[in-house]
Amino acid sequence: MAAPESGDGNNGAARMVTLISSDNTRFEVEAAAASLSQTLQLTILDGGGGGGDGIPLPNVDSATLSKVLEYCIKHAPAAANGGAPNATAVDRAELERFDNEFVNIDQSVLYSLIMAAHNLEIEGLQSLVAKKVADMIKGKSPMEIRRTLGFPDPTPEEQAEMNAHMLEYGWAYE
Amino acid sequence: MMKPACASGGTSLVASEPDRLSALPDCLLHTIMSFLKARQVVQTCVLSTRWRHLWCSVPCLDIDIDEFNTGSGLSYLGVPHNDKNWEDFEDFAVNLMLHITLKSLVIDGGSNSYDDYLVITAPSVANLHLAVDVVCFHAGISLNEMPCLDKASILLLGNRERGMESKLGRDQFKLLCSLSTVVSLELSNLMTMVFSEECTTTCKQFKNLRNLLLENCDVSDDFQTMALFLETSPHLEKLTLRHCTISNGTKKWISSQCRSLNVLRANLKLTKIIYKDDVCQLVQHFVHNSENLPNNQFEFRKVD
Repeated sequence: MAAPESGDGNNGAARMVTLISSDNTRFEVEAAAASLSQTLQLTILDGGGGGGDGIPLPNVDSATLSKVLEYCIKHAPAAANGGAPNATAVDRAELERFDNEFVNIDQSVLYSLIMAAHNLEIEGLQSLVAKKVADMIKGKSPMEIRRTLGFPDPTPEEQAEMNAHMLEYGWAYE
Repeated sequence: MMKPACASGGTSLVASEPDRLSALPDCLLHTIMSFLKARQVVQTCVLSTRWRHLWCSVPCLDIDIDEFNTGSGLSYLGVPHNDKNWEDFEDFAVNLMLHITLKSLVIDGGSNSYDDYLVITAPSVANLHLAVDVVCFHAGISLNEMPCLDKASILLLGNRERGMESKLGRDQFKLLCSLSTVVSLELSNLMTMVFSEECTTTCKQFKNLRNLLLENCDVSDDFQTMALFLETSPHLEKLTLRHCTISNGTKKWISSQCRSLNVLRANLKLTKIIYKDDVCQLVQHFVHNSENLPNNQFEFRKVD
């Protein structure tokens, strides 16, 4: 599988690192992008991940890792500017547009992403996905949430327990 | 190299195939909840067995009156005019406090009017920080028991100038008594009148108190404030007076009524006095009573 493109590809001198997914796919990315992950940053600062070595990521499959890196590559320049205080409004709007589109994906991918972001300590990505999931919950009744998020149908016992719970928590409803 | 995943919650509790969301560890579900308002967070308890108690351990809750605005009545500065909305909000907040274990409570600012007494019931609080303007809390503040209280800091702004105009200002002693289980206590801007005669008879013991800091307090009341603390805090180890003042013209501290340290305080190990100008009276006072403080060490530091 081809490694994702590293940014605009115009900086030939940028240091590259190799990440290896749980299914043994190798991804070559700029160190600056991979360093959005707090966990990877430490290894990279120690000089790891270069040459033929690669950094194994046993908890992240290739589909998820490719998505994670797409996020990191897009956000790396802004992160390098320290949250881009001097970024133009156009740049910020572009990142926002990217983020919105980026999380417009299947729920199962969202959950894999948030797990990966958590394990790799990529705070921005974790918040982005968490907020997206929260938006899917926001303003919905419990029944609607269960339907939207594909919860299994409750067993009769569960349903009875839930009804009792709903009574007890009447103060949290109307 | 991976950070260990945080405790994954009871997937085994769900009989049928669990949904992917519920399979996430608690900490990630909490992160998701942190983007929701409090009422919706509580409502997640009926989603499934997995979610039943999840909300009780969220690290933070965003209680917003806007969530109770039913749309009837115009919103002004986020506060609905409608009384029903306010009642719903209040009812929710009170119930919430009964269900969660609030560990840390910060009240910074705020106000109440003449007939709205603020009663704080948060029995699990370990850290309390109260920084309020006495003039803004005309109707007063009452704290219910906080048996787990570890650290408390109380800052009463505007106290010196207009404390007596406010119920909060007049009731400072009661407020202090409700902190009687605290281990470490910081009091700022207390007035001399905080302890009146009745206090000595009604005050509870500060039986856990180890550290006491008095900052910007007026101690020209024959040191009675300090005396009362020393008498009622058998385990006090460290006493710090930072920028405490003695009002001009008060010389009574030398009088025989000065009973600050009549009780033997063998536990007191360190008394720190941080001062700007004149520390002479304070020193004399402590030296005068030093035989009652066999293990105490003094430390003086002048700051600008």
